Amino acid sequence: MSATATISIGEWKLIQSTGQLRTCGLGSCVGVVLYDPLQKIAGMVHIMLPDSSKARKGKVNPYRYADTALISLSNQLKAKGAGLLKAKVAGGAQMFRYAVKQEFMQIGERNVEAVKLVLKQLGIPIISECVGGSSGRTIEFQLETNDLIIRTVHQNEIII
Amino acid sequence: MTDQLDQIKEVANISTGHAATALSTFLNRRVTMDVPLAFHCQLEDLPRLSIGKAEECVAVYAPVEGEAGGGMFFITSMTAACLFVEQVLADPFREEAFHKNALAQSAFQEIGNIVIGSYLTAFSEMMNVSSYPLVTELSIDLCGALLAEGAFHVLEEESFVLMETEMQLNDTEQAMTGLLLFIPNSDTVKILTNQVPRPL
Repeated sequence: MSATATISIGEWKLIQSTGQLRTCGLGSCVGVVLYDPLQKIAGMVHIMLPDSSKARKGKVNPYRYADTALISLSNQLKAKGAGLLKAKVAGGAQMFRYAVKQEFMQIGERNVEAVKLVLKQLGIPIISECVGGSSGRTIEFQLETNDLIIRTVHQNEIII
Repeated sequence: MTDQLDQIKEVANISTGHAATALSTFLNRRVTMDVPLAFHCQLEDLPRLSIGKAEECVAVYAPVEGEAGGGMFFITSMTAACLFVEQVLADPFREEAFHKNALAQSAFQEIGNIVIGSYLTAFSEMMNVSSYPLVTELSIDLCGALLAEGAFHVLEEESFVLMETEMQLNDTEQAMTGLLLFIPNSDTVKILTNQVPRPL
């Protein structure tokens, strides 16, 4: 069994030639895997919010925001020798339906929209996705097969 | 900085005491609580909290409004949630049934309402500010996702203060632990650190 790299909110990791990338507890956050199946290199990021220009006060972690996270991640991958990148996307659920402030409504949906827009601008095709709904997801990407395995607490696991 | 956190901890201590008493009265059981923690936390840290290890959790979340606002959670593992519900409904109860049982969910939500409501009542009286929960919501899901979700509705800065206390029911066969979390928004933190009543 090869090594599994696990990331938390607003974090990212790369793996090369072998291994798994994993992140737990994606709610309205979106997990994005960028990978190059030929060079056997992949990176995962756990994105929290759509837009870094609306970042709150204090030091900003670029990997929290869709725009900056995806640009940084693709640059890191390119620097390690990745060529044409592909993407798989999961997350963007709505966990609390009512008890949230109006301005944050549909944050999951907005995250997914932002991720898709930035990927389009970067020219990275989305191979498969599992987004929306109201359940949290745990995702794992296997570099050997390029499978993204998605687990939720209420349903069976699916592979995209 | 440490002094300020100590002040916040003391406020949490008294508020949680009231919440534990209310829970004890409601369930007619002895409820014990740990010394509360108060610490600066980043969203990245939330899935690493002790409760985060339980895959499936049940959470009652209340947005908190008033002069002192934020967000508040009462959260337990699925196993503990079912035990809490058994105390209320006085009926043995299977974990798999919780998802589909509206009565069980409602009973658990009521426990959350009582704990959160009494915490905030004590808090606002002590601090002499208004602070009250909006309508609570129940969610059953992965713990990390639930916590992150609640936290970033109140998050205005990269790091925030988390007030955390564990409460237990001990005289049952299995220990039942519920975690009470208060995430005050940044204005509330200012109130907390400047206006804590001092001993005479």
